[in-house]
Amino acid sequence: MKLIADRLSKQYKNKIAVDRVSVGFTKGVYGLLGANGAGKTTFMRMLCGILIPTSGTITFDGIDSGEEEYRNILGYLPQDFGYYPSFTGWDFLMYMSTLKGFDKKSAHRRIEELLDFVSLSSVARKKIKTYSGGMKQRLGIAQALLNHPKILVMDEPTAGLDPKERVRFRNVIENAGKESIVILSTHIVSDVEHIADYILMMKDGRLIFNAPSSEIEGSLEEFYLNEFE
Amino acid sequence: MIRLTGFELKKILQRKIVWITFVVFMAFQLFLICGSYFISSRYVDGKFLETKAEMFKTDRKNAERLSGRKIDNILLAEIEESRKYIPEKAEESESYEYLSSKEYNEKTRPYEEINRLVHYMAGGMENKDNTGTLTQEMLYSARHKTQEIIWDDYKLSKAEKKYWQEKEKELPEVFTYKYGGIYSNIIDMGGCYYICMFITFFIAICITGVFTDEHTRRTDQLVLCTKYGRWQGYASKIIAGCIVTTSATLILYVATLICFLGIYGTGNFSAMVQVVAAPLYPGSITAGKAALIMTALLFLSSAVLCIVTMALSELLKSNTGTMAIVIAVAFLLARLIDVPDNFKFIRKIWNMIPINILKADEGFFDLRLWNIFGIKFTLWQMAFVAYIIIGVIFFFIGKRKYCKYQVSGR
Repeated sequence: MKLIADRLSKQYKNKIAVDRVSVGFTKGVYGLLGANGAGKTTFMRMLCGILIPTSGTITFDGIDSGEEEYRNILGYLPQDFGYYPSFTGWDFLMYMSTLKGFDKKSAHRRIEELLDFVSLSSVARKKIKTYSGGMKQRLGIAQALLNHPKILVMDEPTAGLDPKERVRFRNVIENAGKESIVILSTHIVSDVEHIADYILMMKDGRLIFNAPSSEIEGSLEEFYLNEFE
Repeated sequence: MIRLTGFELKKILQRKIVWITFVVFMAFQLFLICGSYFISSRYVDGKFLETKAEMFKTDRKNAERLSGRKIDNILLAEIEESRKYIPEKAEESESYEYLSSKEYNEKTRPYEEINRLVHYMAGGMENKDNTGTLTQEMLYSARHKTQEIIWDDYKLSKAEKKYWQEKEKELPEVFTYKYGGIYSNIIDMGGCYYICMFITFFIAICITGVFTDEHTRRTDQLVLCTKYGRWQGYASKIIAGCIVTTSATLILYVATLICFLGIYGTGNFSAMVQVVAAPLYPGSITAGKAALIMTALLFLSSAVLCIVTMALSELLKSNTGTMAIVIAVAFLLARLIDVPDNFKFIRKIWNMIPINILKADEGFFDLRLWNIFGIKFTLWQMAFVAYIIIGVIFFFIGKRKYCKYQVSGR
């Protein structure tokens, strides 16, 4: 199981958002850190195949990121995304499971499991427009996990979650990282400090740090601040 | 795909604007076609003459009584006789005293409808020679002369004239009058034309958001990175849009038919279109067939306009921009701009726009022909082919744009 981003670049007119990033991912949790505008979201969108790189390739065990087979093993939670306000939480997950190729029966089973897991079972039949920010975020996490993804990409996944939910979420990610490649970006260093097996840091579109978290001595926050000074 | 389409249908139908627009248009349509029947009355010289419902009933009864009669010397003589009771002065012929008189209601009125038809058949030339009684020879000869004048106005080529002359030969020498009933109204303004007008607006208001809402809501990034989010996602949205549009068309159409049936009755499917809606048309086609063809064109054009609109909205990434284009091109410009007959090619294309082709006196009975590899097609025949081709082209343009969509910025 290997996800390879090879000399990945994305250029917008005069701005290079991602500059020749090469990185290989295997099973485990990858914490992607970087300041605003560092290119984290652009990089993640390219990993998800919804943004075509200007140059470079992304493959998972030889499967190109543009292929249906690649999307089949992908779970994505974008940084800022919307819902269908008139859908209930259940409808939304049913819709997403249909898009992910589930049959009705297995979709029901998986959705019940996930709703319970993200503590939304009691409001599953309520319209999403009545949900709080945190509930919406949890619903987003549930849809990303629907298909037991081998590649789980999460952009600022803890935004809107309360401290209790945050801890719970960390456990989920830790478990997912045992079987899959989990890449999560965040501003909040503490979110990745305890769960990330690897730390990646981006600055001005470039990958300036890529190493196992065990190699970082002392506090990650201090290390992070030093890197960006 | 079926389940995906179900969800897309749910998304569309959960929008309040869809229901509001549909109910408003349904009310408009019903009011336009039968509002006057139920609430209007006929007043002459400030005095109540009859309700519109009574007027429709009497006219229908009179027309049905003459249904099946040949428009020959015998009927023409009866029409002539009925006209003797009409006062010479125009103001008298439109006065309350005359219109409520026994002479008018028993002698003249029963022939009014057929008298009007004869007038149109002869292109107003029937009394030009002032020869007194109109004979069938004079009537049909006047019809031919009028046809030739119109053909010249249309700038028909020799080949086109020959084509229509051949078609004209297929018609009987003496026409048989049959009451058109429901068929004449489907062909005429109230039927397919009004529905097409409302559906154009319905598509512009309700369907343009199917793709653009995904982008503005930012749900596109979730959908596009799922297994079936691209090709199947696109196709299910298009299918859902077409289902909603054709269902709206069907409901409006059925409601219209029910109203027409109540007011005008079934009429005769086999009535010549010449005695129902297009007196000078040289083609051999029955009113029933013409109504069916128009109905098929209405449904096809609704579905195709829906596909074109959805693909356009994906190209432009703007539902207001698409709405403006659809309303401007498919309705306003098509109705307001009258392309001169000199620009025959443009005129033919212009008359094939749904709102024009579904108008009996404009596109549907247009005599200009398309010559494709030596085979001649009328505008409505060509419209079927053109609509399907346009629909397929726009479907794939939209698909390409949607599947290659790049989530950037934000």
